[in-house]
Amino acid sequence: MKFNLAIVLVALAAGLAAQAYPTPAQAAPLAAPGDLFIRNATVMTASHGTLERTSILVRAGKIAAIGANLDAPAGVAVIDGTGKYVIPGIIDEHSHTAIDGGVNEGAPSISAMAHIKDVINPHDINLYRQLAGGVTIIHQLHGSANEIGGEDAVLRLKWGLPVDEMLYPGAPQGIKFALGENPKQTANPHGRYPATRQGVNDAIRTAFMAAQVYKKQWDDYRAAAARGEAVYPPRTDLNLEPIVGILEGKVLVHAHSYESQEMQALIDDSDEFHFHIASLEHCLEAYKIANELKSHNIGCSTFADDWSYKMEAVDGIAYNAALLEQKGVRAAINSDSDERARRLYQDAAKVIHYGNVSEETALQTITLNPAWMLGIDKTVGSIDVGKDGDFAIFNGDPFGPSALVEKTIIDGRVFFDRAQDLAHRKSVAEYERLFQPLLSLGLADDSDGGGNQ
Amino acid sequence: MRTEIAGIIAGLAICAGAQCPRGSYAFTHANVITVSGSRLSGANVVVCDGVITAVGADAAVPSGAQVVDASGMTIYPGVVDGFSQYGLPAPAANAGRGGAGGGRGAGGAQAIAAQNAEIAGTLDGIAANDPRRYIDPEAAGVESDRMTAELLDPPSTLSAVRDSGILASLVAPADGIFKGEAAVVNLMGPDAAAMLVNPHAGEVMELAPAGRGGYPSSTMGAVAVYRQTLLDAERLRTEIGIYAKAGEKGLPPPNYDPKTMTLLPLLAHQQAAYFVASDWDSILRALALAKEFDLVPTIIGATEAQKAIPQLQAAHAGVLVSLAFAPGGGGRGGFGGGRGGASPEMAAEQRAAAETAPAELAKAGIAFGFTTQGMNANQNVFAQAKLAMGKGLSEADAWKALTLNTAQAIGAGSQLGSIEPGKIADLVVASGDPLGEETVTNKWIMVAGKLLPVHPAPAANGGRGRGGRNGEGQ
Repeated sequence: MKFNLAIVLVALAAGLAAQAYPTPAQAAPLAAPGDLFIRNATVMTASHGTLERTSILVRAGKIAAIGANLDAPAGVAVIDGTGKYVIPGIIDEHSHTAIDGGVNEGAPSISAMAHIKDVINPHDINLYRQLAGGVTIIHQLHGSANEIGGEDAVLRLKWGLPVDEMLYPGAPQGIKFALGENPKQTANPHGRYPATRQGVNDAIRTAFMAAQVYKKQWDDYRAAAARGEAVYPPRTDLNLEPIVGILEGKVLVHAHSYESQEMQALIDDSDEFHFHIASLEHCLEAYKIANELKSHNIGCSTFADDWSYKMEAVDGIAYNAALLEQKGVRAAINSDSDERARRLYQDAAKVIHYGNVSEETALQTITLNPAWMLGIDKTVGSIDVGKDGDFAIFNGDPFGPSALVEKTIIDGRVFFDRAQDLAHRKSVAEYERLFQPLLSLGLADDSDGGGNQ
Repeated sequence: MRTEIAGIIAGLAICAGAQCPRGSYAFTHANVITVSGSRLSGANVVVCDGVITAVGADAAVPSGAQVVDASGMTIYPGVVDGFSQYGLPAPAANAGRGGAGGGRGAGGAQAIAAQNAEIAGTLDGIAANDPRRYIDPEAAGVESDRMTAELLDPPSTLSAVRDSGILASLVAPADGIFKGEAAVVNLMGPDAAAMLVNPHAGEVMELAPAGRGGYPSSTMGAVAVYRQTLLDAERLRTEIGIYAKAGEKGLPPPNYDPKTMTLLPLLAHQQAAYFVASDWDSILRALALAKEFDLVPTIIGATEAQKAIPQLQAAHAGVLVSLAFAPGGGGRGGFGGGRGGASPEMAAEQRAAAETAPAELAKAGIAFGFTTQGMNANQNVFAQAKLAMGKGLSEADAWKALTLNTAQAIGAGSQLGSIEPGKIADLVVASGDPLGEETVTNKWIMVAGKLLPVHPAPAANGGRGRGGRNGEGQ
C-alpha cells in the first residue's frame, strides 16, 4: 500500500512536471504560422520610429499591414494593445543555451567539424524562460575554446516544437572563431598547439591555407572526373568543409575577441584570404578600431556594461556600442548567458543611459542589428510589412524600470503568455500544498531504487 | 542450418540417442510459458542436439532421452538480454588498444601527440589524403574493427548470470563511439566458439565521447567523429566501385582501412545498427543521425522512449529498454547519455517516468525488448520487469520483452526467445512463474541443449542473483 501510494504520488509529480513542456497535442496548433491582429498599441518598429495607437495585422506568420486605421479581419485573433508597447522579437546574438553535451569541442584547436545543430536540446527550460524575456531568436554558438570552433545554429524559440521547426529557415550557416586568451589557455589542459596569442593567428592562417589546398583537390578531382578520367575523389573532410564555405562566402564568421590588435590581425587575415567577418563577439575594444570595422562592414556584438572580469577585458567601456554607432558600425547587445538573455531589453536601455543614443538605436542592438549579423535582416528584426510576425508585447516602455513582457509571439503565434504562466504557477503551488505533507512523511520517497517495498 | 533443423523436426518421432549425438532430453509434465503461443500445462518439452523438437502434452518422449520430471514446475524460455558485456574481458583489459578505459592514460597521450601534430602537419596531411590527420581513431573511440566474437573469453562469471535466468545476449564492448561488431551469444562456456549464435550481429554505436582524453571531448565532437567515420566508409565504397569499373588497373587499390572496411556491411544494410541512447534528446539525436546514413536503428537504453514514440515509429526503430530505469545519476550521467546532476527528487521522478516507458511503448504497438545495461549487481531482471508491470505493462508483454521481442530486436528471432520446435534449447526450469509469483526458484538451466544445475545460492527470484557482469557501470 505504501509503495503503491508512492507510485501514485511520484507519477502525479511527474505528470505535473511534464506540464512545463507542452504535449504534442498542445504544441501542434503552434506549428503552422498564424494570423493575428494587435490593436492600438505603441509600436517600436526598430526601422522607422515609434508609432502611437497603431495596429498590426499578421497573415500566415508575416506582417501584412501596419497602421492606425486598420480593422481586424473576421476570424483573426485580436490582442488589445491599448497601453502596451510592441517591439520586434528580441534576438540574442550570442547564446550557449540548450546545447547538449558540451559547448566546446575543446580538444583540437580547429573544431569546425562540430555542429551545434546536432546537439540542440529543444526541451531546455531556459528556452521558455527566455521567451518570458521577449526573446524570439537565439544565436547558438560553439564556445570560445578553439581558434576555429564549430558551426552555429539560429534558433526560433518555438517552445514545444521539434528542433527542425525551431531552426530559422534559410539562415546562412555561421561559424565561431575565437581569439586571445580563451583558445590560448585552453591549449594547456589539452596539450595542443598553439599556446601563445601569436600562435592563435598562425593556427587560423594555417587552417585557411589547408582549406585552399583541400578546395583545389576537389576542384582538380571534379575537373578530372568531368573529363571522364578514372580518379578517386578526395576525402570529404568535415573539419575543412566549413572553412571552404567561408572562402566561398557561404559561411558567416563570428569571432570571439577582446583586444583591438587581435581583431585587427583577423581583419588582416580576412584581407589575405578574401573572406568576410560578419561579427566580432564581445569585442570590448572595438571602439578603438571603429573605422576599420566600418570599412570592412563588420558588426560588433558586445555587452552593455560588463568589463574587467579578466585582463583582456580591462579596456572595456560602457560607451562601446554608442561609439561604434556614431562611427556607423552596427552594434548588438548580447547575453552570452542563460539568465541575462531574459532581460536584454534592460541591457539595451543601458546603451541609452551611458551613450545617450536614440531609443530606436538602442532597440536595434537587440533586434535589427543582430538579425543583420546573422544574415536574416531581410526577413526579421524590425516591424515592417513582409517581415516575420515576431513580437514582444510589454506592459509599458520596454526601456523603463518596471517593464514586463506580457506576450511573446513568433510567426503570429503566441509562445509565451504571462497571464497563462501565472495561472499555471498557481496550480503548481496548489499541488504542492496538497501533497507536500505526504511527501514530507516519506511516503513518496522512491530514492532507494523503487521496488524495495 | 535451416535444413538441418527441418531434418531434425522431420525425424522427431524417432529421435533417440543415436540421432542426437549432442544429447536428447525430455522435460515432462511441466507448465510451459512458450511466449510465442499459449501457456501449456502438463506439457513435455523435447530437445535434441541443442534444439527444441517438440512441445506439448502429447509430445512423445524419445527412447534414450534423459528425462527431467518437471511436474508442478514451470519452464520458461531463457531471458534474452538486449545488450551486455557477458563473456568479455573487463574494460581495463582492453586498454592495450588505444588506451580504452585508460582515461588520460595512453590514449590521452596519443591524442595529445596527434593534436600537436595536427596544425603543423595539416598541409602535409591533406596532400597525403590521410584520414588520420586530426583524428586518432582509437583515442576517439572508433573501434569498428573490434570483433566481439574474437574477444569472448569465457569462462568468466557467467554462471551467476545464467542462474538468474538470462541465457543469451547481444554482446559488444561498452566503450567507444563505434564499439565494434556485436555478436549474439549463448551464455555458456568454456569454448567461446560454442557460445556464438551470430558472430556478425551488427555494429553498436554511441554518440558520446569515449572518455579517453583528447578528441572528441563533447557530444557534438562525437557526432562529428561518427559522421566523418561513416563518410570515410562511404568513400571506400566509392573507391571500390571506381576501381572495379576501371578493371582493377590504372589506379592504386582502394584504401582498405580496417576501421572503415568493417563498416561497409553496415552501410549496405547487411548488418544491424545499434545506438546506445537513453534520454529523450539522445534518442532523437540517434534517430536523426541514423537517418543521415540511411540506417535503420535499434535504440539501446531508451529510458525516455515513451517521449519519442512518434519518432521511433516513423524511423521503424527497434527499442531495447534498459531495466535499470535510471536516466539520471551522478558524474557523466546515467547509462547511454543520461543527464547528470539530477537532484534526488528529480531522479526519483525520472525513474518513475522511466518505469512507465514499457507500458507506453506496448500501448503504442512497439515491440520493444529489454536490456540489463545500466543495472547494478543487486537488481534482478524479473523484479525490474515487475516495476514496469506496476505501471501497466501486461505480464504477457513483459514476457515478450524479456525474451522473444529482444531476440527479434537482435536479429535472432528465429533462434531464441520462445519455446517452440526449431528454436535453440535455452530453457529455465523453475518452481513457478517468476513474473506471476512472489518467490520463485530456478532449478535447472538448459543452454543450447546443455543441461546445467542451478548453483545453490543465491538463486531465488527477487534475490540478489544477477551479478557477475563485466563492464557494467560505464
